[in-house]
Formats: sequence, C-alpha cells, structure tokens
Amino acid sequence: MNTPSHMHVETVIPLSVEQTKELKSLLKKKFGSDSFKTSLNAALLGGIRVTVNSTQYDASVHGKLATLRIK
Amino acid sequence: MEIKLVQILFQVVNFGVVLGALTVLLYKPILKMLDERAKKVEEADKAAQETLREKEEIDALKKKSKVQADRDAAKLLEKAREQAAELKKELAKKAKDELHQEHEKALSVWKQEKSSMMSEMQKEFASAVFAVTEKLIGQSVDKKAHTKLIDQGIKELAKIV
Repeated sequence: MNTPSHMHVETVIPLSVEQTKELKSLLKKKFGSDSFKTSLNAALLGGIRVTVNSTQYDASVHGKLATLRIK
Repeated sequence: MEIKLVQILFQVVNFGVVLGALTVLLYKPILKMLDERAKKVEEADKAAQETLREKEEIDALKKKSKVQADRDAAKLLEKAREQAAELKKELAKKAKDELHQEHEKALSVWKQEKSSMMSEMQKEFASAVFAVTEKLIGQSVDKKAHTKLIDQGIKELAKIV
C-alpha cells in the first residue's frame, strides 16, 4: 500500500488527546501513516470527516443528513 | 187484250241480256270490289290485331323490365344502406379508439407530470427538512455532544475506511 501524500481531518470542535491518539492509530493501521492536518468546519454539524488524497470518508452529521436526502 | 208471245220473248231476252250485262258489268265488279274491300278490312283488322299484340308484348316487356329494375334498385339501395351502416359503425369505432388513445395519452402525461411534481415536492421537502435540521442541530449540540459524535465518527471510520 502506498503511503498517502495528504491526509486531512475535519471536525466541528478540536480533537481531544484521546481522540487524536485513536485516530492516529487507525490511520497508521489503514494507510501506513499517522501524519495528518486538522481543521475545524462547523458545516459538518457534528462527527468527523477524513480526506485521504482525493478520497473522502464522511462520518459527519451533515454527511448522514445528505445521505437521507438522497434516499 | 192480245198477248204477243214474240214481244214477251223479246222482253225476256231483253231482260236476260240486261241481266247478263248487269251481272257482268255491274254485279261482278261490285262483288269483286266488295270482296276486295272485305279483304282489305280483314287485312287491316289483322294488322291492327298484330299491332295490338305487339303493343301488349312490349307493355309486358316494359312491365317486366320495370319490375326487374325496381328489384335491382331495391337491392342496390339495401346494399348502400348496409354499406352506410357498416361505415357508420367503423367510423364510430375509430372515433372511440382515437378518443380512448387520447385519453390514455392524456392520462399518461398527467401521471408523468404528477410523478415529476411529487418528486420535485419530495426534493423540496427534503431540502427544507435538511435546512431546518441543520439549523436545529447547529443550535442544540453542545461540546459534550460533539465529543460523543466525534467518538462515534471515529468508530464508523474504522468500519468504512
């Protein structure tokens, strides 16, 4: 697996220490790297969104609402 | 009075001659003329009867032809009536079919439009709900709830990544 060149984590409020640790562990396991950029995005409404290179993994409230709307 | 035999004889002869002359010169020609006239009358009568007979034949033929012509005309009229009735039936059926097709077409268009409108309304409703929900969530979620949501989000990421 190639190490991603860019990983970006978005949340509404800053990640806690435990959350950062857990997330790093997850990303290291899945992508081989635990280095990521963080930013705050109130539009998410809650939850978390991770962008790895050009792929987005959306576990935010906004993403869930958008999925419901499509259905 | 003295009867003169010679005179009587002479008169008789005279009479006979006159009679003979009259017979030859008058009686026979007149008789002949009468015979001829009778023949002519008979011939004319025959000709008249022949003409009458021919007229009757022609009349009979005319009558027969008229009867036949009437029959033919009646047949043609009946046939024309049947054809007209058939045509009327066909036209009525065609009109009914066309009306039915138009009705089906209009119904189909209406259904499509209804479906499209319903879909549009659902989208708009969903958008409205989405907007309201966004606003409500944005206003009601506190820090504790956000932390919990992030924890849940990380767990979900573990499944989807």
